[in-house]
Amino acid sequence: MKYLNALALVLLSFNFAASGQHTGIGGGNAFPSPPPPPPPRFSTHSLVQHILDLIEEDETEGEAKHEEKQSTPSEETESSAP
Amino acid sequence: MLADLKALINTWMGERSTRNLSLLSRQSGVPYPTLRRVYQQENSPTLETVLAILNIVAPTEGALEFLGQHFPSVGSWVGKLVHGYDAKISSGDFNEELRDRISFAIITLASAGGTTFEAIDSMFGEYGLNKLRRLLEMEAIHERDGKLRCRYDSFSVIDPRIVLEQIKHTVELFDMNQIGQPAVTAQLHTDGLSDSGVQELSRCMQEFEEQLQRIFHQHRGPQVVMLSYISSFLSKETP
Repeated sequence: MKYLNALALVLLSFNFAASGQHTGIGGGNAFPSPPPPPPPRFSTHSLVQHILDLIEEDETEGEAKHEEKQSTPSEETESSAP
Repeated sequence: MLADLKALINTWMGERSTRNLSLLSRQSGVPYPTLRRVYQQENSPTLETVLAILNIVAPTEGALEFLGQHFPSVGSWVGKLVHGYDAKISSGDFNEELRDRISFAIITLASAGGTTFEAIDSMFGEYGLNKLRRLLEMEAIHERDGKLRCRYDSFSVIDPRIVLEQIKHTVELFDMNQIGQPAVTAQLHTDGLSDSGVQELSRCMQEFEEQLQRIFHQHRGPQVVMLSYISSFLSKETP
């Protein structure tokens, strides 16, 4: 049994012995440590910020529409002038 | 860096009385005047020149140590390759033979499980047999257990000129009739990339190398492959 184990070990190590030519020149950032994972797309903070941005956008748009409505008659008055 | 390189050259020359700068110039392909200026520490050589010199003068671990210290990114790549395959960096006389296409093919067959006179004769005829005799004479190849085997079980070349010449050999030895079979491909990509694209490509090639290493270790067998790839810039903006 011991002999069989030893034989298996020899076969295994033979199987793992490399041969042939493995050559090349590379470089740059060869084999670097993996980059840090990107930050989560929506952290609690960014989600809150995102909602606040949306509200702000909505308010700005509302104000813009309001101003537009107010300015329309005067434009009409100007355009209707001879 | 120059002092360390000079020390390696001195050690190499000290090992045999026939070794001098002139012989180093012939074996490395580095012009004598360039070599003399490097030896006298008058100018900094290019990486190409350093690698060509190291390939002759430094044993495997010495070359890796030098590269690790003075050119860490290249040293890291070569070190991973050499240690991953338990390879030796091959010597100058051996490398010279790799510059010939048929000698390259014979060495490739001999190093990947062994070959025979009959196989070389049927593939390359009398020309191949003459090349084989030359390789036997200089002990790049020897006979063992009825098979012709290479001086090295596993080897790496670090002289970039010889690496590129061998890649040319693989192009010339590419057999069009095999197209369509698994693992027979000829691919080419040329296009513009952003800096992040270049980084991504570099990562991709490193992962590919790691997968190759696993395949070559775990699936040894009689099919002798030639797999080569190069990638460089046709134009590159300096930051």
